[in-house]
Amino acid sequence: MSPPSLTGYRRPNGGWGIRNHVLVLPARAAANAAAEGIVEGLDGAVAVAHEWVGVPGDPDTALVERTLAGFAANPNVAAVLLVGVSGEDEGLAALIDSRGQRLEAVTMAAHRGTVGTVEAGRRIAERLIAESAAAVRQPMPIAELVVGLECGGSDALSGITANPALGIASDRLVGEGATTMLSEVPELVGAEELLAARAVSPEVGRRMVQVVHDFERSVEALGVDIRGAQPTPGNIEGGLTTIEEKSLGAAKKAGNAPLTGVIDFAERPGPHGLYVMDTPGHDIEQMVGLVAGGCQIVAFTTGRGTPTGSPIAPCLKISTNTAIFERMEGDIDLDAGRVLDGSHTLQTMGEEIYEALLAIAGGAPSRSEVRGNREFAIRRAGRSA
Amino acid sequence: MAEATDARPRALQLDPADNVAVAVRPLEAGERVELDGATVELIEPIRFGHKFALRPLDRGARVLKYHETIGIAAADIAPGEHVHVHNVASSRLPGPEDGAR
Amino acid sequence: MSALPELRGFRRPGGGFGVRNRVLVLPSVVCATQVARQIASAEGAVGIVHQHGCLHVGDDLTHSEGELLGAATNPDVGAALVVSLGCETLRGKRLAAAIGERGQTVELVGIQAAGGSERAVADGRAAAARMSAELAAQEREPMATSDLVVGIDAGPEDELAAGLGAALADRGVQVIAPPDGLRGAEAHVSLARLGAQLLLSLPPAEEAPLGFAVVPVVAVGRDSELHRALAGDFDLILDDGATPEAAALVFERLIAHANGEETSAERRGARDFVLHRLAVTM
Repeated sequence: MSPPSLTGYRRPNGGWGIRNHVLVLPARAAANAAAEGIVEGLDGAVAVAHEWVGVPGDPDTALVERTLAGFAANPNVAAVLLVGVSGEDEGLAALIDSRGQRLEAVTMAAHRGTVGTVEAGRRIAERLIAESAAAVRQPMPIAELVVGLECGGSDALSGITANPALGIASDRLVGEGATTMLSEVPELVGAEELLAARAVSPEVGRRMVQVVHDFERSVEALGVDIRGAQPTPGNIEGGLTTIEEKSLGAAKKAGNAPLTGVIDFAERPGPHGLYVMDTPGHDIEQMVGLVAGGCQIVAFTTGRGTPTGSPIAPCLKISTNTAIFERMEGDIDLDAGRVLDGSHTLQTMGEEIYEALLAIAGGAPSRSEVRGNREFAIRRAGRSA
Repeated sequence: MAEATDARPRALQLDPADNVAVAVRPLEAGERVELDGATVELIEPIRFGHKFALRPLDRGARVLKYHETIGIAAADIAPGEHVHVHNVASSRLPGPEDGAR
Repeated sequence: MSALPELRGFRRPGGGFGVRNRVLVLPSVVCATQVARQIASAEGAVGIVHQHGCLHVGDDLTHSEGELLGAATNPDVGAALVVSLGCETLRGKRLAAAIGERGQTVELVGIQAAGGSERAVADGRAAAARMSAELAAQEREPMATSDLVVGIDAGPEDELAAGLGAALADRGVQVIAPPDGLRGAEAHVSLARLGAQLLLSLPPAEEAPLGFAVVPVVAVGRDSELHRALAGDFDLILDDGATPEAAALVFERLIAHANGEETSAERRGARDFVLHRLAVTM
């Protein structure tokens, strides 16, 4: 059976996007109001806001810049307008530019602050929107897809219905040369040996075990009882008892494919295969990390239901059970709970997920896009006690 | 995977080696569930998504699901009893009672 | 010598005053922020967009819950609408109950309980409209200068802050400083919890001013290249430090903004909310 066809936008730097966004990105928190002002009432551009203030000497500077640059350079973004405060933000602009992304910048210090920046920025944004409208979809190799694998609001059914079904879709994509990315290291505690055993090299296997052990050590060093947070109260109400139970279920999203690599937060993976990205369990931080690493679409399983999405990437929401699919009407795309009523097997569910990923990549809107859920959060790691 | 089912499954044992099963419907005390050739009578209600023991588990025994350890029994557990945070401790991350490890 | 300024604020149960009378739409977790935003935009309420509430642990969680509680019960907040998802560590129900126990008007919308984001937005808008209508009936009443609580955010050992703080205290204003050496946006959250009705923000010469979602920020700049270049985002720029003339000017501006005149941050819709975290998220 020949794989179904896919279309996407070929970018000048060789990347492939499945959406065609103009992104208005504040370099730091002081530019948030200007970025939002620029897109207000403007069709065709999306702004994000974040809380990184960026005082001189902030230990998170490199991580935040890598995250913001990766996000801006995602191939779903046709062009980015970077709103900076002063000359200090030229570093971030250079980083985005070095990725070959279409970039314009506007600096608040050149316009006396927010009001002038909004005026100047709007004119630039309108120009970028007109320019990006010329981009057309072309046939896109499935091997160019980079799909994030995320779960949020997990329950006990996650590891039984939605995650294994997603794993089947992930295996199929990897088999066709695409890249899939598992994340959430705290939710791999107890599953790291299983994943390491599938690593393509001993080095990758060691790294897989190491990221999990590093996380456990950091929890010990904090001296906190993590059981209040992992599993979450919602996980526990849903039947998940321990972090390792949650992790074994979470790892099912990665199917059975060999583990090609383990990469840092917001780092780009290689050209194909299954990867694990070192992210926290925080739903939004990990989604931003995945997208900053190049994911054009995120498959997101949920047991308790969550409406979250991304400003620049569609999010395919898959419920673990039918009750939540019906309850959270309009927020969920597919119901894997049908595996329990006999109308689907894991195999047919996995195929349905695969088809849906391609359909959404090809332009059909995901529920999170229809609902306008565009959460954004940057990870700050230098804040440990 | 073994299923306890009439038209649809009521509980799932994900691997023959598992000593717990997951309720995929709310189950009542007294219900008899057949899995993998053996019958278990529930001694208390089991909520949707929650686990119950298929065999007696001694305090300190490994709780097995997906044929993997998902925790350590923190008390003796009888077949048909609810298995969850009140009687299982993580085998990985620290908890308030070190004795449960 | 000018007459004592007339200061008017919204009387709060318990004796204090607010200088704004807002409905604050407060998501208890980052996954509820877009829903909170959609609720607030329709009703002229103020929505907080933050990044927190998911997978906090220990002291960090307790601290964060305290800061959100402090924001919701600040005197400038006339009523609070908590928006929760349902599965988060920082539980929406618990937060709403704590807000209510402090005597604040509060309602709760749970996204999972409501049946999804669309229904939650509809329920939330109805609740916000209800609360806004009640607040609109409340009028400002005379308040004394000594009823005014101003939080000062400045760099460490900042002479300008010390001079202005002293001058305001001389005029009877209650002046508070951020706890634990916090400064900048993170200090705003703590100062709101401590009861500041207005913030006097004095960013260092190489830093830009920020707004704040909960309490109006009066931003005063200094004679630096960056501050002059961002003049439109400041309420005042001082050339010569904390001279008596400067202090008088700052005091006059604080009174005007307390009485309802929009600050630069309010005009441009700058509504940051940066929580100081004690640990990374998990």
